[in-house]
Amino acid sequence: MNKHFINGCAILFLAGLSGAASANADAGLCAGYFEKQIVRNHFFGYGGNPASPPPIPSHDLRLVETKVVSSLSHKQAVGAVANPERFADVWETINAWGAEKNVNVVVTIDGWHAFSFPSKAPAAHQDSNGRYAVSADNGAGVRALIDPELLSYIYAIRLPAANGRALRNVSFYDKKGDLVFALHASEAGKEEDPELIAAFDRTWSVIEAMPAACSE
Amino acid sequence: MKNLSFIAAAAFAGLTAHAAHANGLNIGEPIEACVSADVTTAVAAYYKGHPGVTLNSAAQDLNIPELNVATAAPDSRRVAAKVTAEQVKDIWTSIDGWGAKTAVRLLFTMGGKQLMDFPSLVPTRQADLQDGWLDIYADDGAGVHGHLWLGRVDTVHAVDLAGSDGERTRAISFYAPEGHLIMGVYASIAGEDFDSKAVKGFERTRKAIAALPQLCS
Repeated sequence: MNKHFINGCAILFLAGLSGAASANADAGLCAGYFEKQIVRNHFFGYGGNPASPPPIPSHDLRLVETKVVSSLSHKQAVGAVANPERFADVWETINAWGAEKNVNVVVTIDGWHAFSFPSKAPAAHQDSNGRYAVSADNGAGVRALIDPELLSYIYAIRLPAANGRALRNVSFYDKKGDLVFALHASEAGKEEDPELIAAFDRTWSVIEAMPAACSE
Repeated sequence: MKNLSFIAAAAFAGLTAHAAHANGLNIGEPIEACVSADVTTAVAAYYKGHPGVTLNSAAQDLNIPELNVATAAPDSRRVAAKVTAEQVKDIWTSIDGWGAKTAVRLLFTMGGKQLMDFPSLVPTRQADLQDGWLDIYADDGAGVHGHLWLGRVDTVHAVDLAGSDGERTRAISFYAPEGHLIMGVYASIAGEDFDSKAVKGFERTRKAIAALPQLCS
């Protein structure tokens, strides 16, 4: 039997096991080797869209969104394992983005349906049940009730777009890998707010310092 | 080497297919929309103590899927239908008729647990690309951009709940087969200001849903 054939099959077998092992170790939420190649090709391959909001490749590739963001390099995305204390620490930085700043709030439902709302930057405060009441625009904007116990990962994402701009968001995922909501501090093709970007960078640093969600 | 290339390509294609389809996006077990008498009694008792509460809050408090709250809601004017993609489009055309400058609230639950509620103008249908999506934008594109994946919309309900002091909570709600709310378009919520144009539009959409074969009637 051809030696190259045997070696090739062995490499493919081990690569496949590696991907499977990674997925199992992270309850199926982190991308395996081949999933990373597929996602990176979607963003950065020929004809790709490097600043595509992650719900789009998630839907198009039929991969839960945590697999999409965990396919990105740590220059493009940093993720932390979520727990209530880390959720509080991340929101402490988001509360400082500024109530008058313009953001987009993106939600997906079961990973299949997506909505993007222009909004003032929301703030969150813990209630007596441990959940967080989120509101924007002095209560005239979005209202939400978020249970941090039901989250898996928190990611900060910074994807390069044309003209030196970038898609920047903070994304909160449930335990099935679906996006609960994301706060977009900037999007491709739109004017950027330097103060908001500086505030986002502080949130990025806090998430980056937390225990990582998935290996690069 | 030719053999190796062929087998490598085949193996990669196989793994790719595994990644794209076997893992896939999350699809849960479909649930039965219609409920037992016990659930109907529990929902009625809940609403007696919490008149006009939105369906997602009731579902969370009762710890049952919101679809089952909607089908058990104590409302003689409740209508519901299992829908095809084309029927969802038709129902949204009816919602378009509420008026692009009409104020509503759009409610969501992620995973059936996390609650979000956005003020919005009525999102209206965009060009039908026949690509599986229903694209809906509000405020001439300056408001929400929404994308409903039609293949995962299973039922549509119009619910009109009594609140306190004659106020009412009126919702057109779209549900996934698993019973999760995909989106609730609230024309009014008891205890809050509302746009009278939304209430008039709600009544027309309620009649459009009532004209479809009824679910759990």
